[in-house]
Amino acid sequence: MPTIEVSKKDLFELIGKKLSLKELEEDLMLVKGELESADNNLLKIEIADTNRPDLWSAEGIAREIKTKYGKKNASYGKLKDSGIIVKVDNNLKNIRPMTVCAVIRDLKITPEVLSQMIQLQEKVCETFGSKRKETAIGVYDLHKITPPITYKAFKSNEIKFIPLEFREKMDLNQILRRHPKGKEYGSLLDGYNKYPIFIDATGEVLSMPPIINSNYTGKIDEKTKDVFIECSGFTLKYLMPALNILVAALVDRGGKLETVKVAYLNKKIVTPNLRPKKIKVDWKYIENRIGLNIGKKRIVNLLNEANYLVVKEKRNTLYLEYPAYRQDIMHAVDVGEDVTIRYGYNNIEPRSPEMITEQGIVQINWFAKEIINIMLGLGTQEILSYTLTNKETLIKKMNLKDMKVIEVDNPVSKNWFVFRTWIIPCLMEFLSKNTNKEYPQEIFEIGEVVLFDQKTETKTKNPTRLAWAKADKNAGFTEAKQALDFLMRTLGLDYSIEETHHNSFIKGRVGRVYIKTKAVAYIGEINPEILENFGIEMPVSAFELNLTDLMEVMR
Amino acid sequence: MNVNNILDKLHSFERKVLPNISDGITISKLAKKSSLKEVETTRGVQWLYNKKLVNIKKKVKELIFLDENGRKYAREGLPERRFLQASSRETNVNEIQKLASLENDEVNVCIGALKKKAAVIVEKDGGLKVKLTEEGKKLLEKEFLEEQFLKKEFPFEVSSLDPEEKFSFDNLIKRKKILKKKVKKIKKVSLTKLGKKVLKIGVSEKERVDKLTHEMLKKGSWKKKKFRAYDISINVPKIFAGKRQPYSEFIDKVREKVVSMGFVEMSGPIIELEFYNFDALYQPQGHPARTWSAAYRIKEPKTGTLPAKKIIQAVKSAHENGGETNSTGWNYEWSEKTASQLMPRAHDTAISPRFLAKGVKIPGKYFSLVRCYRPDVIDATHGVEFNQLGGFVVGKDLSFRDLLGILKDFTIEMTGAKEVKFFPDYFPFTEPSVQISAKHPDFGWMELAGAGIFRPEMTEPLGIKEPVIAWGFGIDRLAMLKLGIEDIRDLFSYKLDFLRFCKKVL
Repeated sequence: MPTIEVSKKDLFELIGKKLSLKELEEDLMLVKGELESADNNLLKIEIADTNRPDLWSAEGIAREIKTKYGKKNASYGKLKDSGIIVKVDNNLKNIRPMTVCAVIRDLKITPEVLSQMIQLQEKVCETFGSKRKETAIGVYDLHKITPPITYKAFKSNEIKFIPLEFREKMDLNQILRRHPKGKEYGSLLDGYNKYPIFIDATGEVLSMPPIINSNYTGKIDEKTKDVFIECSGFTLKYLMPALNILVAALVDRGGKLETVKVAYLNKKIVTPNLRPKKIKVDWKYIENRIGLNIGKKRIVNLLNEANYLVVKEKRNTLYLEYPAYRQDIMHAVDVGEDVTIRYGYNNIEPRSPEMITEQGIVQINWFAKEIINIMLGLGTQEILSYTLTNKETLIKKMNLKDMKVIEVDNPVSKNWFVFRTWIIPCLMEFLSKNTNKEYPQEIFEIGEVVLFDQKTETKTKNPTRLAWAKADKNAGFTEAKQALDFLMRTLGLDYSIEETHHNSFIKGRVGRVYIKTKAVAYIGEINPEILENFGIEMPVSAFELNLTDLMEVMR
Repeated sequence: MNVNNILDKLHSFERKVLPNISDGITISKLAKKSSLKEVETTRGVQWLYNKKLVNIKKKVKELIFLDENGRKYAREGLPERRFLQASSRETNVNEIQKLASLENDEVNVCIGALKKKAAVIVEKDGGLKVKLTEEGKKLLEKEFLEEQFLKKEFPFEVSSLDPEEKFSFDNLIKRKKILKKKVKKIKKVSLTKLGKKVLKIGVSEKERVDKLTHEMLKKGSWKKKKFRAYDISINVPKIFAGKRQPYSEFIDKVREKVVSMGFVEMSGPIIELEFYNFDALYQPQGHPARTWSAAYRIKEPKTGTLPAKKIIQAVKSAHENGGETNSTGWNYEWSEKTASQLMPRAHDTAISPRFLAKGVKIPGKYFSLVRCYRPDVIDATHGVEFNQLGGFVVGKDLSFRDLLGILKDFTIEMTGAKEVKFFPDYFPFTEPSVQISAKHPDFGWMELAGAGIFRPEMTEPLGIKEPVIAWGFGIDRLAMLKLGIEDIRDLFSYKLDFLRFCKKVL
C-alpha cells in the first residue's frame, strides 16, 4: 500500500476548500485513504488501492474530493501538437523497446509541485511499474533539448554523460557500477551489451532508462518552465496510464499539455492520449449490487461526482465516459464500487440476510478435538509449534540421514525454511528450551506435517499427527506405552507393537504400532545421543501417531 | 482463635516443643530438651510462631572458637612458655629451639611475644642470643594471661570479654590459627501470653492423629482417635496437570463459534497450486503479491496438476480479455505453466476457489481457519507462519448491503463489539471491497476484517453465477488481545512456565 506525503495547505488549495482534519479523514474514504499522521502542515496518507496510481498524489486526491463540494476538475480537451518527434530505434527491440512522451509548457514549479511530481513519479515506477521494470519515467527541461530526440541502444563505450547528482562524465558501465541508481536498478539491464539512451539532435544525452537522467538536461528546479516527459518500458498497457497520470497532475497545476510524435520502425503514435475512456453499465445492476433502490437520478448524480459523464442512455443502460488516467476499470462492478463509495458505506443500513444453511466442521478437526480431550485426561500439557522448522532440528539433531523434505526456495530466516515431516523434533526443541523447569514434563501437540505424495494434485499431503513426549527421571518405554494404551483403549482400538529400528530411538526400545495391518505410529525411548544434541539431561520417551490414518481405520 | 481450636491444630512437633520453652531458650537447647532433631524443632517453633503462641527473637552473635593450633596449645601449652623455660638454661637461640623442640616459624613468634612482655632482651653477638630479664624470671613462675584465656570454655561471645581477656584475645587472634571468629544467628524463643494459656490447658494428654491410614480404617482404631486440625490456609506444592495451549484453544473456540453461525468448514492443502492461490482469484500473474519477495516458493516439487481444461480455459480468458464475463480482463498473456507452480498457501482465500469450482450448495456459508505462510521479516507483529480465518457466503440476490449485515453480525459475535464502522478498501478479487473496524469495549477501535463481493471475473469462470460475498478476519490480532500477548511469536510459546501458569480465556 503506498503511503504518500502531502502538504496540507497545498492539498486544501487544490481541493479549493479548507477542511478540518476530521472532515478530511471522512473525505479520504473517497480515495480509500487513511490519514496516518498529521504533523503541522505535513500529512501522511495511506492509499489502500494498489490499482489506482492516479490517486497517489495531492492532485489525484484533490480531484476526487473537490467534486463533493461542487467544484469542477480540469478538462484535458484537445491537445496542441508540440511538433517534437521521438525516433525509436529498432535495436532496442529486446532490451526496452517502447516509449510514450509528452510536453508541458508554462509550469509554475513551486516546492510543492516539485515534491509531488517526484513522489508521484517514484510511486508510479516502484509500485505500479514493478520497481521500474514495467515503466520508468523521465522529466527534462525542454529548453536544454534540441529535437528531434532519438531513443536508441548504445554500447557502454559509445556514450559518456554526467549522471544526476554527479560531477564527472562516466561511460554506461561505470554508471551501472558506481551510481547508486545503477546499483539499485542495474539488474534490469543484466545480460545486454547495449543500453537504452535518450539523446537529442546535438548528441546531448537525456537519460539512460530505467537507471538515471543526465545531470544537465534531466534536472528540474523552480526555474524550469517547460518540460519534456518520457515513459519507457515494454507495453502500452503500463506506459499509457503512467504518462497520463503524470501529465494529468501537471495539468491540474496549470501546465499546458502538448503531444509528441513517437516514430517506431513501422508506425507512428501520438502521445499522450487523454481522450475519455468509455464503459456502459446497467443502472439497475448497480442498484442490485448495492442492495438499495436509490433510483437512476441518484446514481447519475453520484457518477458525476465520481468524475463519470453520462453521454447516452438507452433503456436501463448508461453510456459513460471517464478520465483517461484511470486504468483500473474493467467491469461494471468497478463503476458500481465508485457509486457505492460516493453513496457512503456507512450510510447503507446493513441487512442480515435470512439464510438456512448447513453447518459443520472438517472431520479431522473434530477428531483432533476429541483426541485432545483424551490427552488432557492423561494430565498432559498441550503445546503448539510452527509447521515450518529447520534441517538442524528436524534431521541432524534427530540423528537421521539427509531425507527429502519440502524446502522453501526463498526463505527469510534460517530457522524457518523446511516443513516438518514429523512433530517429535518440535517436542524435543520445546523440552530443550525448558530444562530448568520443574519435571516431570509431559507434553503433546496435534498438527499437520507436510509429506511428498505423487498421487495428489499438489504432489504433497498433510496428514494430521499427534505427538506425545515425557521427560522425567522415570520416563521410559513403559510410560509411553501406558499413555498410548490409554488412548487406544479409550478409542476402543486393538493394536499391536512390533520391534523396529529408528535412529532417533534407543535400539531395542522402539516399536511400530499397527492397527490390523496399518502402521499408525512410532513409539520408543529417545536415543541419549539425541538428548545430548538437544541438551536435555532427562530421559525422554515419546510416540507419534497418524490421526488421519487412525480416523480412516475407525470408519 | 479459640484456645481449644488452636490446641486441635497442633502438630506433634509443636506439642513436644511447647512445654519445654523457657524464656529466651535457643533452638539447640530446646531440641535437646524436647528430644527432637534441630530441623524438627525449627519447624515446630515456626508453626507455633504462625499461630502466635511464641515470640522469636533473632540475635546475631559473634562467637570465638579455638582453631587448630589453639586446640594444640590448650593441650600442650604455648610455645613461648617452653621458650622461656629453655632460655633460663641457654642463651643461644638455636640451642633454645632444640631444647624447647620448636618449629622454625614458632621461634620468631615466641621472641616477639616475650619481648612484648619485656621478658627477654635480644642480642646479636656471634649468632642470635636472648637474655632473660628480671620480669622474665618472674614470669617463669607466673601464668601468662594468654594461658588463662585458652583455659576458658569455648565458644563464647566476643562481647562477654573483660579487659584482660580482651587484651589476650587481641594478641592471639593475630597469630596463626589459634582462634577463629564466627557469626551465628541465634533464635531465642519465648512463650506469648496465648502460648502460656495453651500450655496451661496442657498439650501432652491431648494426643492427635496426623493422617488417617488404611490400617486405622481396617482395624476401626480411628474411632478412638482425635484428628489434628490442619492449617488449611497454608501453601501447597503446585501440580501441573493436563492443560490446553491457550492459542490452540482459542482457535477451537473460534471454529465452534463460526460453525454455530451456520457455516461449513473447508480445508485445503498447505502446499497449494498458484492457480488456486492467485489465478483463480483473478490476481494477474504480474501482480506484486506474486513476486519472489511477497510469496514463498518451494524447491521441490515445482509443479502440480491443474484442474479440468474447461476451468483453466475460462480462467485464462478472464485474465486475458475478460472472456464471457463482460470485463476487459487484465490484458496480458496468461501462462498455464505459472499457474501450475506449487507454493505454500499464502492466504486462506486460496481454499475458496477450490470449493466454488467443485460446486457449493446455494445458499451456502463456508469458512476455513488454516495456517498460511509469507516471507515477512519476523518481529513482534509479523511471523512467517500465521492463522487466517476467512470464507464466503453465496446466495441468489446477495448485495453489498447484505455483505455489511453479515460482516457486522460476524464482528459483533466474534468480538463483543458494540459499534462498527466500514471503510472502502482494495483487494484484487473483490469489488466493492470493504474493511470493518469495531469498537471493542476494552481495546477501542481496531481494524478487524476485510470483505467484498467476489468479482464476476473470479466466480463466473468457476461456474458460479450468483453473487459471492468473501470475507477474511484478523484472527491473530484478536487472539493476542484476548490472551494478553504482545509479541505474535508468543502465540506459539515454547515457555513451559507460561503455558503452566497462564489463565484460561473464557
